[in-house]
Amino acid sequence: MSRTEARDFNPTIRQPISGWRELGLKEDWWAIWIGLGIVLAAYLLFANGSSIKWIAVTPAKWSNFAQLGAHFSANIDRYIVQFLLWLGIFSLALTTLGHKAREFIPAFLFLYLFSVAIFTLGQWDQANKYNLEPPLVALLLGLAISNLVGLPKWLDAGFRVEFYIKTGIVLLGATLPFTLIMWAGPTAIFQASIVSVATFLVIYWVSLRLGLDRRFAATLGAGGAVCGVSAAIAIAGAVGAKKEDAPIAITMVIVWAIVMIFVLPFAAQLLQLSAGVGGAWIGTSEFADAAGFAAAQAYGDLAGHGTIAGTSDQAVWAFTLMKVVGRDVWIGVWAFVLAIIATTRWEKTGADGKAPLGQIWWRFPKFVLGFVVASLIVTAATSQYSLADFNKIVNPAFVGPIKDLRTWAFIFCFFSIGLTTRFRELAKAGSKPFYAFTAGVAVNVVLGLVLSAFVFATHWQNLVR
Amino acid sequence: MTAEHPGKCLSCVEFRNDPAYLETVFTGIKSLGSAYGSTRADDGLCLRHDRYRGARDSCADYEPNIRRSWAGAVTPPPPLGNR
Repeated sequence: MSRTEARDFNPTIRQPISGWRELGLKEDWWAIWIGLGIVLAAYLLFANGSSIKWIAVTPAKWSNFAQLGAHFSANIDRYIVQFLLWLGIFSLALTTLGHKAREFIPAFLFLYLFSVAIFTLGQWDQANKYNLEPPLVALLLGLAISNLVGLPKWLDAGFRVEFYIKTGIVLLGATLPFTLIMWAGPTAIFQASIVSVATFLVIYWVSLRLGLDRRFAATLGAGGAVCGVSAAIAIAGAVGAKKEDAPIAITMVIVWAIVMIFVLPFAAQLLQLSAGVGGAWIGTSEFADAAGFAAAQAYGDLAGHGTIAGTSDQAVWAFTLMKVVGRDVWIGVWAFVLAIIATTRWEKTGADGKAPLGQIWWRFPKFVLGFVVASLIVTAATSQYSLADFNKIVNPAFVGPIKDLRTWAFIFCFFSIGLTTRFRELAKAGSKPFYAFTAGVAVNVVLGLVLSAFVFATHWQNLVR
Repeated sequence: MTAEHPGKCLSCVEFRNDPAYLETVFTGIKSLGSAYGSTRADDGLCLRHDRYRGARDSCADYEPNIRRSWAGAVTPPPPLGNR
């Protein structure tokens, strides 16, 4: 886009939306409203002897087409109502954020229908035999459609990867006991910090050795060390990087994140890591939340089928603690520290850059608050139940349906990753950023494995409710 | 900051922080990220310097945005050649 086109594109300038206005104008907050709304509705119905189970319908296990047909003919009304629910709440959120309903609605219909097909395929009793894990199928199918067939760009309005994953993470909070967050959180922060700092320094150091600009090096380093694309653009803004720096960092994150979606679960299985340990490794070594959840969910599914030790929940819980609690929440601190260094130590860029302390909060990934509050609500609401009663009473009517809706949100996300990843459109990165980022990947993966599978292995394989 | 943010990038005519615009410039961002998230804060692109900056930054080339008042009234921008 040329400078003149850019002027035409955005003839008005927005007022800052950090602050109260952010509550309605950032997708993080909408993920919170939607996620907590579902959790509260589920609790109110549960407390009154009912459940959201009816609307949280999912495809049943099947072994032949007759069973499949019987399931859908018996539950078609539930799927229609569920579709309308998702459509309604997502439309409200996305149109408020500025998207067009006429683009979102057909796009989401497309997304939902394919998600039903992907979910159904994953419920086939032979799916595990052919490695048809829904996250991986969703990703590969999406990649094939977007790169081999192609879809109109306007359909991207319905493929909101980050929005779906944030909504899913808030819902995930409802299935993760708060006591577990408190017990495992400090270890997650400690382990993730070691890996994040080491990865950042390696990428930064190699970048400088290769002659790259300091601000670009920091943008690349944050993309690999903290939380992927979000970190890259946050740090690019904090240090005043060149316009082309962030897209190159984004390319690096996407390429390696997608490679790791397949490599990490495969390698973890080869090493026979338990679900919790594998999830912790993925949480330490994946670059983006959405990609990491795809890998962790796929690895957890292996546990669900008995291929590896542990439970599906353990893989997802360990990943979430490591990635969300251990890495994501620190992006504001990274931005603050790097902004100070950029404004006081690095060469000037012609602008008077600031390093306000407030950005620790402005850049805080607010959806994490929803994740924690959801965990607190469900933990408080179910604290009087024994484990046996929880499994017999609470899970089927309260927590289980929330988990099912979370699974839907994740499938929307995984399919959207594939649909929006068009490799030919990614910024051309060149060899130097690639070498620098890849050096960080190598350190990240090895260090993450050592810490997860050896140093803290006992911790991660004992994650229990 | 005040409503008009005098002297800050946010109120400069060269500053663009609309998330829809940023998603067209930062190719690939939608794949594993978003310009609508909290972590971006109010950052945007400076068209004059081709840098991605914080909204609270400032520089010697600052030029106030005259196209829209706080109330939202839009006035035509001056021709580019007059800048």
